Order: sequence, then structure tokens, then C-alpha cells
Amino acid sequence: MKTPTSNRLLPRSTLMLPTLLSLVTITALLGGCAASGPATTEATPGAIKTDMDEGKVHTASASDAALLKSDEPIANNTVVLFANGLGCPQCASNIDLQIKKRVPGAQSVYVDLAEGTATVDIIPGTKRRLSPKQFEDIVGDAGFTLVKLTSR
Amino acid sequence: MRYAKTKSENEEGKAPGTRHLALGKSERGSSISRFPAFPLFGLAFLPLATASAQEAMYTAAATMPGPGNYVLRQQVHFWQFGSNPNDGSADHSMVELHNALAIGLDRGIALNLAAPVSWESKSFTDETIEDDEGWGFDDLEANLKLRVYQNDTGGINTVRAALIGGLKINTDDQFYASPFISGVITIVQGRHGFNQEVGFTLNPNGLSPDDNMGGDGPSDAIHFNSAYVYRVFPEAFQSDTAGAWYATIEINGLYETNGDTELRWSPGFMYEGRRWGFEIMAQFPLYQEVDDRAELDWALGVGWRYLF
Repeated sequence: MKTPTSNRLLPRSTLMLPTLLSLVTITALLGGCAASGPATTEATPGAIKTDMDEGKVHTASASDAALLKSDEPIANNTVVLFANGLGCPQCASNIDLQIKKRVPGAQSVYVDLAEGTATVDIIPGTKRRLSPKQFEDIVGDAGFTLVKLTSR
Repeated sequence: MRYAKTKSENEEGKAPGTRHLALGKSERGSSISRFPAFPLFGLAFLPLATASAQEAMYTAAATMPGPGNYVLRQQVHFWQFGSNPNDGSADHSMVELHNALAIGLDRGIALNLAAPVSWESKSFTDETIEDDEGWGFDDLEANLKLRVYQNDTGGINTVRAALIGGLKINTDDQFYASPFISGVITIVQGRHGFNQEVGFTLNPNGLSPDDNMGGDGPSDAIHFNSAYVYRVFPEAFQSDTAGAWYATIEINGLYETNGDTELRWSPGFMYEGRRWGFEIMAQFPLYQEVDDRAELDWALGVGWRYLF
């Protein structure tokens, strides 16, 4: 026989607690999302930064976006990838592992969470070179958004 | 094989002739010696324990390893339950070693496999019933996680959603599987992370009520888990940051179609390095209105994960 209230530890009003917790958190986070908005530029001078605005928001100019569609192999030996969504240390390893597996001649990968960048050093003389579009695929497969790319 | 040993087994290999156990094993297909039944407990509160980044212990996140990458996750859980109206037990302890592997298959798709092993002990207020204990393999679990939405709004910030569907496969003598599906949203905004998961489990051939630890059947179940993950240290990522400490708090809810409803809260800590992570979490009842199974007194979980 059911005794609906026999095992109740706390009154029904207790259910308000997790509900409120969820609502407050969602509101705060969505507020933060709205504040950050679409990819603008890096921090606006003089703007008040909160702990929800950490990290750089990479943006791409028209030429940056066009470059990412290019199939032209990159001849330089250092490629810097500017990615959004690198939110945690293990995220960094996801991108690091993908690059090491898929970029020919990659001798080191340095992921900088503060800058939101992954710097790839390629062994000089490596014959097979990847294009920006291929780098975009690799970063995307790792679970992040490549916004722009530079090489030197 | 799941069931390995019952301390009080008699010569016929059955648990002692208690009222419950006699009914349980032979007629109802359920008793402590049908130990493998317990795994589906994990269905309700450990639905996707194949961790990826930013994932607390009991709530899934919409994150996953990249293609060709793996995350190995092992957790040890201890649960202390109170009396069970179905089998007359007064006290029930259970330890589970949860072994899980997440495999990145393609962009936004991961396969998750889990094979838990458990040990449990029951004591009875009726002195004519001997205490009982045993260990065994739990149900196997296989599921696919599919990322359906991703919006990386900043260097760190992201909003993601994923669908998860899979099966819990019973490893007992009788083969059956319980399908489940859930959806999860992950939001990371600076130091703050939030995961919300809602799922449904169909238990067409679920366990007898005696072995149900929550979500195992015979009723179908809806679980809803919320996790707030706050990065305690470092305050801001630096160029040389190799790991981060997080405080986590979860609200874990379960509703079964027989009316049993349960809400737990789970405070904990998590360390996440670039390749490995460590987590520890306690769990306490917040609200319990359960009439067909034992109540949870408290629980503790410890785990680690490794990305490769």
C-alpha cells in the first residue's frame, strides 16, 4: 500500500531550491551569453570585465574568413590557429591530439588557453603541407571553431 | 557471470530460506543472489559516465573526445541505502567500480561503453534471516552521443547540445535490454559551467521491485540532472595553465512511472588536467517519496579519467 508522504524527507517546498538554483544559473549564464554577444573583437577598452568575460573572443575579417576556405598549402613552418570554445584544459588536449595525428611534420603543438590559440611547429622540409581549409577541419573535428589562422 | 558469491548460500546454492529470498530467486527471479540486477541503478544516476571535459560525476555534458581519441573513466561509488519494503532488508550497502570508455568516432559523434562491477551487502532486522553479500558484473551499457548544436561564443565560452541514445544490456541469465534516450545542454561562460540533462528510460523487461535501486524497473523512468561547475582555480587561464580545480554541485532527479520520485544533491570537487582528471563527490537525498524500493541514506564517489 502506498503511503505517499511516509518517506518524504523534506516538505514539497524544498523542491523550490533546485528549481531556483537552476533558474538563477540559467539566467546568469544566458545573461553572460547575451553580454558577450556575437564574435565582436577582443575586450573593449574601458569595459568592465566579469568572470564570465574571460578569454579572448577571436574575430575574423573578410580576408581571414576567405583564407580559411583556401586550399593552398601553407609553406611556413609555424602556424597559429585562433579558436573559440577552448573552455577547459582537457579541451586543449583534444585539439593537441588531433593536430599531432593529422598534421604532417608537426613536431610540437602549444595550446595557450589564455590566448585561445594553438601554435603548430612543423619540421622544416616537410613535403606534404596542409591548407587552411584542412586546418579548419581538424580544429572543427576536435570540437572547436577556428576563427582565423596566421603563419610565419 | 555476474554473481560470484553469497556469504550465506546454503548447500543447494541458494540463499537461505528466508521468506523473501525463497520467493525471490526461484519464483520472482529476484534476490540478492540475482546481483547483476543492480547495474540499472546506474541508468538513473550514472547514465553516461563516460566523461569528457567539463563533466561532473552524475550529469552528462555535451562534450566528447575528437575522432580517434578516447577517454577512459573509472569511478568507485559507494551507496548506503536504508530499509527496503520489498525484501525486508534493514540496511543495504553497495560499491560499484564503473569502467567506461568514450570513443570519438567522427566530428560530434562518440561511442560510450561501460562495464561496471559491483559488491553489495544486505542485513535484515529479522534475526532469522542471515545477512547476505555478493559481488558481480553489472549490466553493460552502450550509447551514442551526437552533438546537435554548437556555438562557440568566445575564446572560452561555448553553448552545446547533444542527444544520447543507447541500451543497458542485462548480463543476467535472461537477456533483455532497456533503451534510453536523453538530451543534454552544456554552457560554459568564463569560470561558470552548467550542464542540464533530461532522459527517459524504457524498461520493458526491467527488474523486479526487489532489486530496483532507482530507475531499474519494472517501471519506466525519467531522470533529470543539473550540474553547476565553477572553476575555483585558476581565476583566469594563463598561457601556462596545465590544469584547473572546479567545485561542482549537482541536483539529480528521478521519477518512475510507479510514482516514486527522488531528488538528490551532490557537492563535489574536480581537477581537470590536459590529459587526466580527478573527481570526488558526495550525494545526499534532498527529497524522497519512494514506496517501492529502498531510500538512499548517502553516497560517495571517487573517479579519474584519462584522455588519449
